[in-house]
Amino acid sequence: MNDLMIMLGWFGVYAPVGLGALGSAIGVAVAGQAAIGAMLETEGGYGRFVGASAIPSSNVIYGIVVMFSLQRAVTVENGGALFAVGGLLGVALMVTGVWQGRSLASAIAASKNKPEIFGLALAPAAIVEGFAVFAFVFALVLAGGIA
Amino acid sequence: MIWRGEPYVTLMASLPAIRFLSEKAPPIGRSRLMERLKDLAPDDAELLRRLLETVSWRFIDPAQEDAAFLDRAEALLADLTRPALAAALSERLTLRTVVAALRRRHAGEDAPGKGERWGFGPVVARLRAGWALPDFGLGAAHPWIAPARETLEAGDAKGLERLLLEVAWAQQARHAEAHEFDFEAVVFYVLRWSMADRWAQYDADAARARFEELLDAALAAAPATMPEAA
Repeated sequence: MNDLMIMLGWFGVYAPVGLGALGSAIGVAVAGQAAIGAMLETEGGYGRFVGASAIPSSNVIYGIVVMFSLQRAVTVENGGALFAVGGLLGVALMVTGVWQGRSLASAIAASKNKPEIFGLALAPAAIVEGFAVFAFVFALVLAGGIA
Repeated sequence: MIWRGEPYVTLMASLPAIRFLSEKAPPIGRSRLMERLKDLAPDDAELLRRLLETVSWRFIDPAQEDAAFLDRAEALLADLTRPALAAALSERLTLRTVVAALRRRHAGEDAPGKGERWGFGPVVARLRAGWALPDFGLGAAHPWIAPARETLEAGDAKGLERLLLEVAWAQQARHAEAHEFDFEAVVFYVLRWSMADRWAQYDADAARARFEELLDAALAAAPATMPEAA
């Protein structure tokens, strides 16, 4: 049981980076594929498509910051808390990264046909980013209270 | 589901939006579209080919018998594991069956015999039963039948073509709603393209016929109006 708690604790410490990186990788890949497709059909504005497709990268950065705030000697007493905070943040970062990528792919595909909607089309992805930020900030707050 | 694998993000993002009936021609030409579709996986490309041969007039062999066409359509439906495509195909074949019944009745034909294979799906029996009714008794499920019958009886071929394309467009748009970057999205895009192309061709043919009509009228009047050649 003690070994399990320590293992879960270490999972919690690293989950924000590992799962956040997964979300960022998938999100950027999906949005990046849309950017490449849009470039085939447009004569310019390539930079903004590529720039938009990089937005889900932020999730892994949030994960790295939280990992440092969770990093400490993992014990039987704090293993459960580290697992809960880090694990749930990791899942949140992964899911928001993936869906942010999908939102961006839609935004890029749509604004290729109608460039004037580009800014507005990014709004859903920005809102998803907001949810990732909520999870990030409150994970930091809770991390401060773990012994 | 956290992430559904969608292999055609690049392909779909590279295709321009098609606005039905609002443009003279589809925004992407046939050869360019076919070039883009080379990104499809071999199995998907084969399935798309079979679907187009069943749904798109451009790809349907007009010489084949109704029974042979129905056999192929039913075999395709049995092979389709994607619910949205199966539903869209069934709906399109049903639409085509009802239109065939309208045309046959307009031509003065009696209701098809019970054993005759001429249409698709459960609607066949209902069409035969309601042959004497203006809308075959199907008006509630297919509200477009009444305007289609009126247009057909008025001899407005272009109006009927437009109405049927609008109905087919709305049907496929409903099935395409949940699909943005997957194979279904590719199929629905190609079907939209096919309809827009058909309408553009129809428009071009109508314009050409009208031009020839005007030209004939002008030439008929020409000897009386043009000065004698020196």
